Amino acid sequence: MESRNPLLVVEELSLEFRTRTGVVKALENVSFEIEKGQTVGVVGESGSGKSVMSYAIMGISDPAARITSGRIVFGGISLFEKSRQQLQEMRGRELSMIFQSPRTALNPIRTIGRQLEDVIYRHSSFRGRQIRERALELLSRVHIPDPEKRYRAYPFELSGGMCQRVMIAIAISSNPWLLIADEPVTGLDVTTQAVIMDLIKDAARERNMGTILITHDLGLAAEYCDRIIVMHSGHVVEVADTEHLFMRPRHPYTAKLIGATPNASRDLAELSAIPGNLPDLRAELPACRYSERCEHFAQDCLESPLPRLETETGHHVACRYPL
Amino acid sequence: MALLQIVDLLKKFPIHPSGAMERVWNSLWGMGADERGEAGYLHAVDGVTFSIEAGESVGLVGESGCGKSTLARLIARLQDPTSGAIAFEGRNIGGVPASRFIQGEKRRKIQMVFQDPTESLNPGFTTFRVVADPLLRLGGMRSGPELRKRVEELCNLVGLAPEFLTRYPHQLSGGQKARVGIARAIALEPTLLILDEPTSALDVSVQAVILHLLEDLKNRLGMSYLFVSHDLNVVRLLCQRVLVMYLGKIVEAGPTREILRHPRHPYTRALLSAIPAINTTERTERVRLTGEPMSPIDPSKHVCRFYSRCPRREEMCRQEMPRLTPYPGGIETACHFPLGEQENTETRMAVS
Ligand SMILES: Nc1ncnc2c1ncn2[C@@H]1O[C@H](COP(=O)(O)OP(=O)(O)OP(=O)(O)O)[C@@H](O)[C@H]1O
Ligand SMILES: Nc1ncnc2c1ncn2[C@@H]1O[C@H](COP(=O)(O)OP(=O)(O)OP(=O)(O)O)[C@@H](O)[C@H]1O
Ligand code: SF4
Ligand code: SF4
Ligand SMILES: [Mg+2]
Ligand SMILES: [Mg+2]
Repeated sequence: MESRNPLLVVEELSLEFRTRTGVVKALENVSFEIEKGQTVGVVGESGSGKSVMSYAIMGISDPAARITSGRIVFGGISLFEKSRQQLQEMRGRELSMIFQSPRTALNPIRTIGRQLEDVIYRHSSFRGRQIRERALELLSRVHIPDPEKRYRAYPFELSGGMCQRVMIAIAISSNPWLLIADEPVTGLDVTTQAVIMDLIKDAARERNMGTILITHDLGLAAEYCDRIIVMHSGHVVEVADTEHLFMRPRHPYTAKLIGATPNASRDLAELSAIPGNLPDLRAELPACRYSERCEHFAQDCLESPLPRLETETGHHVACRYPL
Repeated sequence: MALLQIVDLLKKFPIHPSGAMERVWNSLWGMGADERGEAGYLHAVDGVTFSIEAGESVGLVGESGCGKSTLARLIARLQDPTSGAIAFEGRNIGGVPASRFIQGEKRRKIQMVFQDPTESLNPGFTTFRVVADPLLRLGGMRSGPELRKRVEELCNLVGLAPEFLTRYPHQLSGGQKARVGIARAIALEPTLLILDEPTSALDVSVQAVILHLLEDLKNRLGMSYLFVSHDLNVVRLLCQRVLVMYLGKIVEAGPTREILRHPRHPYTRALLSAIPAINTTERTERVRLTGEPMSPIDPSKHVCRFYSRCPRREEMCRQEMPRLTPYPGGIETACHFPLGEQENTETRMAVS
C-alpha cells in the first residue's frame, strides 16, 4: 500500500441527537479525507449535517449529541483518544473554525481589538506592543477600513460582514493546520468575498493549511476548491475533484443541485426547486435517503447497504444507479 | 404616490471617547473599560434618497459595511435616523421614535427579515412560538386550532416540516433558522417587507422555493420588497429595480436589467465582474479592487467615496463629490467619469 498521511480522516462517522420527540439521526457513516494544503468544499441541502459534522471534528458538539460510530483522525492521531485538555489546546491552534453566525460567536462585551489580542496572546509568541501591531495588521488584511479607529468597536457596532471578517482574522491568526470555514463569506458582497477567499487561499498555500469550505454557493466552491463533498440528509452522497463533479455529476441529487443554481441567464420561471423535503430524520430511513425525491428510483434502492462506487479514480458516489 | 419615500436620510453613530454602553457593561460585569480613541461620527447612511412603489421590489446591493442593514433598520423603524424623512403611505414615520413605533398600527404593515437568523431568534422560543408571536401580538389571533393551522401553513410555505415546530433555535440548522425568520415576517402579510440577505443561508433548492414564494406573494397580495442581497443573480430574478450603495451613499440606481447590461459606475462594474460562476465560460474578467477602502468615520464632504480604490479616478474626484445624474434607460449614476457603452461591450467580448 502506498503510504499517505492525510491531514484529516473522517471514517464512518455517525451522530445522533436526543430530542423530546425522538432521536434525530443527523449523520450516518460519513467518510472523507483531506490532504495538507487541500481545500475541500462541502455543499448540500440545508439541514444535511454540514455544521454538525464540523462541530464533531472540532469536538464541540451539542450536549444532546451522541457519536454512535466512527473515527476522526487528525494529523495521524485519533481525536476521540485525546483528553479534554488536549482538545482544548488544539482548538484555535491546530484546528480553527469560522462559525456560520459570526456575531453570536464573538463576545458581545469585549471590543474586537481585545478579542483579537486575547487570541494572539494565547496562540503566538508575540508580546507587548507586537500584539497590538499584529492585531491591527490582521484587521487591515481582512479589509476593515480604518482599523485604528475600529479597534475599540464592539461587535454590535459592526456590520454583519465585518463581524464575519473579524472572525476570519481570529481564525487564521494562529496559523492553523486545518481551517473549517462554515459559510465564511455568506452575505458578503462579491468583491469583499474575493478578497477574503484569496486571503484564505494564500494562507492555505503558504502554510500548507487544509481548508474545509462549507458553502451554498456552488460558484464559489467551483472557483476555490480542489475537491467537493456533497451531503444530503446526513449522508455523503458524492465526493470528487471539483472539475469532475461539475462536468459529470453522478449522483441524481448533485445534478439537481447544480440545476437549481441561479446564473446570469436563467429567469425565475426556469429556476426549479428540487421537489420534496429533507426526510424526517427521526423516522426509520431507507438505505438511500434521497429515494423519495429521486427520478431514477428503483425498488432495490431501499435495500441496505447502499453501494458506494468509485466511478473514476477519486470520484465516489453513494447510489445504486449513478448517472 | 409612492408606497415608501426616503428623502435625504442620514444616520450617524457617535464614536465615543468613552461610551455610555461601556460604563453600563463595566458596572454590570466589571469588564475593564477600554478607553476609546478620539470622538467622531461614523456615517453609516449618508444622504440617501429613493422610493418604492406599491407592488414593486427593489434590490439593494453594495459593499459589506456600506450601510445596507442600517438603512433597512431605519426604514423598519428599529433605529432612529439622525435626519431626513421616511414617508410610508404618505405619512412621515421618520419622526416617530423607534420605541413608540413598535406599538403603532404601521408596525404590522412593515416587517423585516433579519440578516443573522441566529441573532434574531429568541433562544427560548420554539419555532411555533416565534411564528405565532406576531399573529398573537399584532394579528388579532388567539391561541387555538386556528392559530396552529396558520403557523403550520406558514412553515409549510417556507419548506419547514411540522417536526420543526417544537424545536428551539439551537436545534435547527442555519438555513432552517433563516426560514423561521421568513415565516415570522410574512405571517402578517405586510405591505412592505424588508429582507436583509434572506436567502444567503439557504441551499439553492430552498432558495428557489423562497424566491417563488416571494414572487407569488407579490403577485397575489401586491407586497413590496426591499431586498438586500450580495447575490446579483438573485436580485436579477426578483427585483425590477436595484440600488447600488457604497460607503453610505447610493452610487447607482435604475432598472436591474439596464444596470447589469451597462453599469456606469466603476464600483458597480467591479461588483458585477466578481460574481463567481460554476461555469468557467460564464466567469467575467475580474476587476480586482486595490487600495484601501475609505474610512466611514467623518468622511470628507468633497471627495468621492470610491476615490481610494477607483481605477478611473482623476483629480476632480477629490475636489467635488459626484451627484446622482440621470442617464438614458432610467439609470442614475454618481460618477464624474462614468463608463461608456463601448467599454462595457469590450470587456464582455474580451471574456467570451
Ligand atoms: N441539537 C439538535 N437537536 C436536534 N436536531 C439537531 C440539533 N442540531 C442540529 N440538528 C439537526 O441536524 C440536522 C443537521 O444540521 P446542520 O446544522 O449540520 O445542517 P447544515 O447542513 O449545516 O445546514 P445549513 O446549511 O442550513 O446550515 C438538521 O436537520 C438539524 O435540524
Ligand atoms: N450601533 C452601531 N454603532 C456604531 N456603528 C454602527 C452601528 N451599527 C452599524 N454601525 C456601522 O455602520 C456601518 C454600516 O453597517 P451596516 O450593518 O449597515 O452595513 P451592511 O451594509 O449591512 O454590511 P454587511 O453587508 O456586512 O451586512 C458599519 O461601518 C458599521 O460598523
Ligand atoms: S440509490 Fe436509487 S433512489 Fe437513491 S439516488 Fe441513486 S438512483 Fe436515486
Ligand atoms: S467620481 Fe471619480 S473616483 Fe468616484 S467613482 Fe467616478 S471616476 Fe471613480
Ligand atoms: Mg450549517
Ligand atoms: Mg448587513
